[in-house]
Amino acid sequence: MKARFAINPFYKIAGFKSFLIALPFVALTIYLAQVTGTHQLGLLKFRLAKDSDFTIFMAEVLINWVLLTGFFYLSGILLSKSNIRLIDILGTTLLSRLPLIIVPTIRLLLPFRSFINQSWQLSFITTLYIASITWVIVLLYNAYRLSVNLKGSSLYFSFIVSFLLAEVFSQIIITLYL
Amino acid sequence: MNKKLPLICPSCENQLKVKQLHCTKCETEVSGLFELPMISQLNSKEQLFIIDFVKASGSLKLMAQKLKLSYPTVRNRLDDIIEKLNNIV
Repeated sequence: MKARFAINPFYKIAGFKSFLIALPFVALTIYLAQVTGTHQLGLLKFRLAKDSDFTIFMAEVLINWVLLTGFFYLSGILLSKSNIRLIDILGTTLLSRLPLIIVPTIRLLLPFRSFINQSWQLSFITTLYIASITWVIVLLYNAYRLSVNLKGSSLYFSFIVSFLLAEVFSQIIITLYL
Repeated sequence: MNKKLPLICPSCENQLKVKQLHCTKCETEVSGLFELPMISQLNSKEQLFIIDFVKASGSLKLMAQKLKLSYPTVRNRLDDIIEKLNNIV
């Protein structure tokens, strides 16, 4: 039951409730990202660099979240027969980002605050990031599936396309403008 | 003991129909060939959902609160039942 809830809490929590629960955690993630210099270029790419404004870290999260929500909502409108609500997609996609707090939190620890390339710390952080991103993607898939009520090939295909489009556009916008 | 109304033929998996009805008060029997009501062609969970939905005055929000589920979960269940009913017609 707990394992199920960890990968799909949305059968119980969605909409504005999920938005309210996620907001402080995402705010904390952004703060920790700034303190530790953990940049998020989309979801699949991260970069370690300090000396950036808090607004840069906030913009990185906002850009990806808004784009992902937008593409998910568009897919839902085009493909779903259900009456989907934007607040469900907004809340559940935000809640899906919770595992992203793991890497900035670990980077608070002394061995991971600064390190050189090809060090065991970098390998550990990268592995941890891959694990947390996998968890995020599973959560996003369940958030999408529940919020737009799609099944079968239209679900898989639209999720992959929406996710990749959000990812590409996020990385382009963040790289060009931030 | 709660008995479930069989809906599908165990032999050929076709939809079952009603052939005989019996009055337990006056022992009258009615024979013919009748379609099962649409609602009874849903499974027991789906029928309970519809009953709860009517009792909640058609409010998905109330249903979600009562079942302790999220709104889209309840909405999706309703949409699945609607699709099933559309396929029955």
